[in-house]
Amino acid sequence: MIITTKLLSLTTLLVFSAIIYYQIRRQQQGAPLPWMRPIAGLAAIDEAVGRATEMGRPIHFSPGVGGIVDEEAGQVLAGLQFLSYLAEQAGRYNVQLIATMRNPVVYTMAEEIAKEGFARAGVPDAYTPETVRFISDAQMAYAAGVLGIFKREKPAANVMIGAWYAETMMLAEAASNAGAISIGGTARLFQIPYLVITCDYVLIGEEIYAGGAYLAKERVQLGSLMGQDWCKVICAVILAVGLITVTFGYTGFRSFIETWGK
Amino acid sequence: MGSKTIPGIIVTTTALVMIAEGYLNVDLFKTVGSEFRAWSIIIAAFALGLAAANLARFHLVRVAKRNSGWYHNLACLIAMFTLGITGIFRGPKAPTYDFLYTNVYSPLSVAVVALTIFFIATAALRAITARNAGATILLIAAVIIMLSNIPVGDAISPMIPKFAAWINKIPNMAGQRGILVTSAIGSIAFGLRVLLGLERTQFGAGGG
Amino acid sequence: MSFHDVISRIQHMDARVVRTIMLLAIVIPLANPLPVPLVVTANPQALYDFIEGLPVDSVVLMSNETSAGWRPNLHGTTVAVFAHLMRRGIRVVFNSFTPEGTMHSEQAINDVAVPMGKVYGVDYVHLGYRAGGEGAVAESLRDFHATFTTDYNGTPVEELPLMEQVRTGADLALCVLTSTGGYAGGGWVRQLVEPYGVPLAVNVTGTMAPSHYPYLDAGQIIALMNDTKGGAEYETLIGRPGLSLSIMGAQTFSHLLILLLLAISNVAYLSRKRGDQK
Repeated sequence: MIITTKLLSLTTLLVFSAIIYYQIRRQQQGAPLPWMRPIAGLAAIDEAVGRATEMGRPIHFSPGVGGIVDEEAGQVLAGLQFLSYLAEQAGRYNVQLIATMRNPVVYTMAEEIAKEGFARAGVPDAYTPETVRFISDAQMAYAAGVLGIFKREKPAANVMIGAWYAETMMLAEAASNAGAISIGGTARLFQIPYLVITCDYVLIGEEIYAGGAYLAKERVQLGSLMGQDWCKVICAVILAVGLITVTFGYTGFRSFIETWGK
Repeated sequence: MGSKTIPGIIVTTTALVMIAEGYLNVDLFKTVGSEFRAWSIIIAAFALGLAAANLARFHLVRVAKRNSGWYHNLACLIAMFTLGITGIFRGPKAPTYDFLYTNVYSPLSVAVVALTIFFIATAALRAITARNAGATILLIAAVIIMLSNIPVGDAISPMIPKFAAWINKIPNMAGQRGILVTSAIGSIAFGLRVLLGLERTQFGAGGG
Repeated sequence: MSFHDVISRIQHMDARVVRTIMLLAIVIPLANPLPVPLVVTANPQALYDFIEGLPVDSVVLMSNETSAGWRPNLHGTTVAVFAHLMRRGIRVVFNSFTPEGTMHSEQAINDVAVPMGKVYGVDYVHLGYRAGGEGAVAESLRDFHATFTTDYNGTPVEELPLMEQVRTGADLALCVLTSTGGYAGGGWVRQLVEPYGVPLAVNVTGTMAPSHYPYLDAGQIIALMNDTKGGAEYETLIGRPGLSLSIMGAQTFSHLLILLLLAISNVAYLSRKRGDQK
């Protein structure tokens, strides 16, 4: 019944799922919050809010241009956790928040998230239809729209954490030209260099998931991250064993992995 | 039953069927999985229409209320309806649609993409400096790769394209493989949370 | 005025001046194309050799998952590869999973197949666009006729002679994917290469190319065409100068200008650092 050529894949899926589920359950049952190394970009979020408050200028936020039905869904959702935090902080400190969206489904989610954030700060009326803006479904039309917002509204801070594509460079640089500090983050490897050279703070790869979960103090997310870390340890051990055995001329381990289930 | 329970049940059921289709040699799962994929194509097409309707509503409201910059919204609506109506009623092969796409939409899109080079130019002058070890490595790699992307690189030295190929094949690939592994693990975790009903963000729930 | 002052002044010049110089570096070579000697690298050569080795009765899928803004980067490669296939008499099926990809396919057809007098439905077919991303890719490869019931022109697929021989992904000899984002090569490796064993060549932008090297190294992609340079090399191979070669002059000068700006920036930084240390 089981497709034998996919046995390795199925085993990996089941083992990793079990590990992740175990860690989630541990967190849900009240295990201590995991230690996370300091991430400069996370501390900078509060700095960004403070800066916007002092200057009386808005904060711009975007979760990138990905959707929630593709590979980048996790990144978009991680970005939206930052929106939740920013909305609460913006409500608390009476700062204008402008959240721009490219994907229509993400836009509807962001509206709800921002409303809840303002409600948690005790100022539900601070949310206006101008808070979350759907710009365009076309990637470059979205970028052009955001460039216009930077030019006209001159945000004090630009938080762009999520799934970023080719418009990364122009948006981050335009934010810098508008006088905003930029906090960028993505797990899309080939956009990270653009964020590194144009943003003041960068969250690289997994840091966006960790940061989003930490800001939200979401135990399920934190448990999931711990489980993922253990899975990565297992992968690293397998890689190391494979590397060492092949280097010393023993190919049995590699053959075993390659032919398992075939 | 909450408003998020039924969508959660649909998501969990669909996901389990698709996983079963991938790993089990059972005709029922293959048939149902194929049907779900066909439905997803139809839903995606409706989502496009929804996006267009959302866009039209958003901009119409701003024009009606004469919000600041409402003329930009009006221009967007005119462009959207012109291209949309032409394509729907005359077809994408009609000369009018072809003209609008090839001579208006396409050059405008290319122009916006091309803006990137100007931002890269100012960033190159301002931000890309060898201020620490990591930045220096980034700078050297960027220079090598840029030279390998133009014929001048081959003319300067045959080592440049070889070194560029080495950068792509060894350190780049090591990093890419790491990212592939971690993003795959992240996808497993995300899927598990969705299956178990622990991931609520896509239903609009956010925060702690 | 000291050297540091001069360099610092250049570094802090108005952004509009920098952008104007960049504009000139692009526009002048475009208006006055320079011949650019190119060395053909491994990937375009690999794709060329593979197509040369294909039997004439093969069918190749060209999937354009592009958007209008990336036309200068990728369209030259699409046209060059399509021209090569048409010259060899190999039949081609176009499809797309992005709305704008269909226009790229149509432009390639008008640039190549129409002037060559190729017959639609026999030598090539354009199936059009289907929404649904990777799910739609998987479903179309399982059954082309069920997913693309009509072609781009509205003709039932059953009436097209070429499509009588193309039912599933297994009927393809090669897939050439042109992509500007999303699942890109990885998705097609999962849905085409692994289940059906069909060779895949990928034509992507410069920023996306590095992420495809793991697949190239594992043999899951047979050739990785890198942005405009890949297209320029392929046009050189088939002796058909086109869009990519015409852009290489502008690309060369703009890259050289960026390198100059990088040099100025770093010289200024080092000069300032040395001044601070003194």
